[in-house]
Amino acid sequence: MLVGNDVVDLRDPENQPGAIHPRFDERVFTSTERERLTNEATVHRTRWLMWAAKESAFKVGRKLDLRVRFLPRLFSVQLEGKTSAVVRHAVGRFQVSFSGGDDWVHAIATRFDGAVDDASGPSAMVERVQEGRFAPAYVSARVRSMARAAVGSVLSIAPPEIEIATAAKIPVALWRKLPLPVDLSLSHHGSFLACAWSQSETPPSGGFTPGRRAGFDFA
Amino acid sequence: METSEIQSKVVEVIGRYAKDKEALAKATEATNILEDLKVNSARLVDVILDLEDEFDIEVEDEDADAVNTVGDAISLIKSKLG
Repeated sequence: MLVGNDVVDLRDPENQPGAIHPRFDERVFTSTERERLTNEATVHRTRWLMWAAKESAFKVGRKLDLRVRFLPRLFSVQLEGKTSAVVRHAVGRFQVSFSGGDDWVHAIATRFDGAVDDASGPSAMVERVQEGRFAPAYVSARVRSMARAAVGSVLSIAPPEIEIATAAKIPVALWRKLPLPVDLSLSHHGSFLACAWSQSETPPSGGFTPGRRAGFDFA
Repeated sequence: METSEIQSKVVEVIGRYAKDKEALAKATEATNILEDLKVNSARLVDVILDLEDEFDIEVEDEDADAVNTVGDAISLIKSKLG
């Protein structure tokens, strides 16, 4: 199962209603989505829920077809309450699940027609960056460390043996230079880091056999 | 408008949103806006809108998506200004 995720820090000063460009909504959202914002009591949160839905769906869409570009208005979001959404794009439909707190929202997208079960369904972890540790190098290293821990737990591999690399800007987990049968998505914004993962639909060539699935249950 | 003037204004606009100020100080046309300067993807929308305002141009979504580096932004603006 392919997975995409996006985390948004709702308290990032640059995200605030008075800080974003006056034409931001017009540029990013469809007329239907903007109407939803107009009628919404919690405009700020809803704006970033819809953004996270688009971005997470894009990350799956690009894994389906590398030619997919992030043109936000082409990812049409239909919110279903505050916990899920359906995103439509020419490349396909995506199911999006939201989680969050007072100061953050997180979206996980999968293909709408992807079979979801406990064994292969996506999992995710969101972490707050420690105060004073916002240096880009630290953030990058930390989110990869999260990914190594997640993949290691799923496949029963020691995290230090796992390498998180990128191929065509898509994160991949490697073990002894071989791609592991786990799909990954990484995200960072403001004070939050996020990682989502699921077991791949098709194990890569090379014959890696997953070990037992550990009980990994992140919020 | 001279290329150097365009470059100066582009870097100034991107600098409003760049998290990595050290990389910004050393920015060249090859500098990647998201990866090197750590501009958040949502802020890249603001960068494009600010560039529209700064240069009094209109940037289509497809053109905006093709802006990955400082040089891409400069080339786009030069093409719009004719």
